[in-house]
Amino acid sequence: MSDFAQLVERESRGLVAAVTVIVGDPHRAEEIVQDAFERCYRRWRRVSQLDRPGAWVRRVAINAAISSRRRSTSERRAVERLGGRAETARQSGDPQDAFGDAALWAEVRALPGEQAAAIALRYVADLSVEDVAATLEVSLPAAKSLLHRGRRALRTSPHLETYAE
Amino acid sequence: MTTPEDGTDTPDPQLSAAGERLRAGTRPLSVDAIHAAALERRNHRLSIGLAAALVVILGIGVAAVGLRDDEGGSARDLASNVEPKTAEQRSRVEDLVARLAEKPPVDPRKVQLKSSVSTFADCDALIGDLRTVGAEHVGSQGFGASYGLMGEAVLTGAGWSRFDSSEQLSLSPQNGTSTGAGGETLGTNVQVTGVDELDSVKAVGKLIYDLDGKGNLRITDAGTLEVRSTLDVTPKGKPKAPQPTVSELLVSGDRVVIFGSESEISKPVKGDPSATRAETSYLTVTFVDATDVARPKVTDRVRIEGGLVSARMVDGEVRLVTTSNMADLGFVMPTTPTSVAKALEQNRRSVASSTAEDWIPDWQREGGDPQALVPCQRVYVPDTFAGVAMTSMVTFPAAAGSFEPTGTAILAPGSTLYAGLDRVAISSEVWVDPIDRERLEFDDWQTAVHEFRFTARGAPGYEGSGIVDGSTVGQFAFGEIGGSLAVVTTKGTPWGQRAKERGIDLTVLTPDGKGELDVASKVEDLSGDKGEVAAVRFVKDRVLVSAGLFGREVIVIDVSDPTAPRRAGTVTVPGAVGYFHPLPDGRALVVGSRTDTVGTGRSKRSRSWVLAHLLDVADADAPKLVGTWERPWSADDVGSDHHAFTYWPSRKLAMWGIVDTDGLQRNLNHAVVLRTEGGVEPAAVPVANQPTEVPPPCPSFPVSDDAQQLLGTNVLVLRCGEGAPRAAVWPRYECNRINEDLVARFTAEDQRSGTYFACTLAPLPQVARVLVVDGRPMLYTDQTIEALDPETFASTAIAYHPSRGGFAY
Repeated sequence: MSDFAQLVERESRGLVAAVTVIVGDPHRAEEIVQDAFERCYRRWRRVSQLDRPGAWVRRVAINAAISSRRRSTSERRAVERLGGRAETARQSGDPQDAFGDAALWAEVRALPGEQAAAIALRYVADLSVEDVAATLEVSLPAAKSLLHRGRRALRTSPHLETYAE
Repeated sequence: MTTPEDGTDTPDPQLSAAGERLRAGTRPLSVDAIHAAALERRNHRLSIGLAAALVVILGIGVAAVGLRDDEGGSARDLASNVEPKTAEQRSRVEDLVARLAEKPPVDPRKVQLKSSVSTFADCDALIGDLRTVGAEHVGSQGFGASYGLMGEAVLTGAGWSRFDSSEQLSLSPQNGTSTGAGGETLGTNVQVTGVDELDSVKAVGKLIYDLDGKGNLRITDAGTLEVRSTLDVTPKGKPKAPQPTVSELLVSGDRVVIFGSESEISKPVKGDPSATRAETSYLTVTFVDATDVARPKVTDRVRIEGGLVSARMVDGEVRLVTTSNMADLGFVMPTTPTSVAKALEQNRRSVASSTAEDWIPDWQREGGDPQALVPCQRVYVPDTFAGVAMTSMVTFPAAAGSFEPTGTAILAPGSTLYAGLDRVAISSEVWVDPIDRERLEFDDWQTAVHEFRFTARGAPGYEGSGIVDGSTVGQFAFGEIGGSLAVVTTKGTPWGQRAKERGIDLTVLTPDGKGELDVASKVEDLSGDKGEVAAVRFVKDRVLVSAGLFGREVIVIDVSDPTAPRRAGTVTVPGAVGYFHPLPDGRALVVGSRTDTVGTGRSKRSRSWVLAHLLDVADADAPKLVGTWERPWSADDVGSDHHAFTYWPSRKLAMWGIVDTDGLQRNLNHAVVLRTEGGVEPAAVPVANQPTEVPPPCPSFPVSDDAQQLLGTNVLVLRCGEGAPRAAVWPRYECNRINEDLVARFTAEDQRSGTYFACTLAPLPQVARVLVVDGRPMLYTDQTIEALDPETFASTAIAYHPSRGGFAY
């Protein structure tokens, strides 16, 4: 298998899942990640020379996801209001959502861009903090801090109240 | 891809589990599809290439016309702080928009950075300037940088961390040690002695004030571990809307000031078929009088437009820094290629017809009228447009019991900001639209630094501005040396740069008394071009910098002569550096980490260690590593949150929580207590016990094997009665309500009444803070509060005390 194919195999599932969290739509996420890999493929000669080609493709996808998210904010709100994906998933008794995952991801999506990206990369794409830092092009402490702030914000989210009375 | 025990952090079980479920339901991409798409794109590109070339030629033509007509109007035409209503006012707006349409866009590479700011005599003069300068810089996406992902985030996100972690410190920075009848109580570990910082828990006298994660202020007696009162400090929001939250607090005597956020969703515009609604977020400040510990009461609550950067408290005076992205300007975004020009024109029109109220954040009490946070006369505008956000610095006394702000604002993002004992420094740069950042090359990037000073009971005053080379390096950029502001900068632009090839400089800026900050001295290329600051600390007469990706080398800068700082010796420490804590006698404690691997083949695993090193930097030229302590299968939070660290000066003990990272076993977590005299020796490694086991709050409900599969094999189902609470409280467990559709899938029809909960074993408690209250050390965890013996650090009492301000790794 070529290096590029290996990269796709290794990174694409986690990355699509992470981008899904950021943009809130799995189909849009697939498009974004596919587009990022396509750009990577076109520049493969150069990208393959990098220390972490994975970080390059993740960064392209995450940047695209963030700008897509701000473009589609108003559309998404309208969809959610009309009972879009998140709501239907929650109410249909989907066993995948027994623990309110859809509400959790909606809360992550509501975080500032960098924090949402850090949380999605760390917990959804299952990357190490070092890889999160490399992807977001921030220092290790800054990446930890983003995760810290994101998690703190999520903790105060009413959707995640476990101990609520 | 990594396994959860990899690296130096601990997984969040809830997020990790949800992430794994999402990943499991996601398809990987097909390589063939990517190849096909790339080919298709290449063919398409060939055909549009020619068309693009034509457009570029046309563009150049328009620009040439624009240049000639450049000197057209003056700001004065628009200097009237009213929404343009009359035909004459409207025509001025249209004139400006038309002029800008002809003008070439500002080329940020040719803008000369100025180290000065302007103020305006009144709102009319201010708005005249903001309208013209703003309209000139606004793009088809508004002031796009407020959404920027990398680099200088403007809203609360990254701004927060940068502010909070700028490691400016003098000796013994534990804040507000107080002595009760029985013993001392330590405050939060802070940057600067006497400057208290926000945290989710505060110890004062014999009491612990914290936020319980459910929107309540909780006051706990540290002696009996009994909760004396729980006060709801988050008014109920509208159903289905995001609910208000509170996150951190400050305590002055028996007055508590609580900071949180809330958002408001607009009503759909009448006749809009898509019924689109927009969201605005606010910072909230709540004042609580806790004179009667058993019956604290809310005395005031206000909301402020924008987000919290951070707050400090000095002598009972709260200093609050907020940032707002001027949402009132109401930018539109293009949705298709053809709408870009329309959006640009609309955004220019919005700015050209804005009022001062749109730019200056306002605050309001529930039911009251909005008021400007800062008067127009106290709004500083950098003479080089830095764009995109208004940073406000306001002060008010905590004891007043109500919000009475005095403030100053600057039109610059609040992300690169430093606050010391009495000064605030904000940097501003030439504004570059995010779209241009990948495209344009900048040589000799520079940053302007503006300094403000807090005075007793007055608004922060402007001290002066200076220019430094390069860009400020986020959270560690600023400190103070000999009463002067010191800035750590890295070469190049603040965005899109690789960590390699980055030189780091330290520049000391001194006011010349005429509104300028002169470069008093400079130490260049601290890292030998290795770039990337891992941790910095300004200690007495020294600056400690650990640079490089993993920061193993600690560089000592001798600043004992503030006019001539110099790079002195270096010392290599094992592992990465997370945090420096200054100790008496020219010493510093380093909290760090390292990883190694154990096992072979399939059982090969990464193992994380927590490290502590004692450094002696008294001789700047020959810094020494005095001692090292380490513990395997551990991780901590201190590198990203210095509040997680506690130093007990009278006993010379360093204390913080660590979590167990050996994922193969369910081991209890611990705190470490290190002696820092002579070498670094463990005094104790107290365990964080689980809360006392109690029976479930409702009877358990047996489910079929199929249902068990559906719910998860380790889930225990509880059935609580009709009208049961929304969630079940059960120490050692986490219970989630099961929705009705799901209940219907595993219960018979006659069993559907009541509320069902799915309970799983809670993660083991994690020590978020080691407190010292009334002479007694205590472990404050996400689930418990546990008192320890001051001599042996053995557990003496424990109470179930759930909070969400837990281990925040």
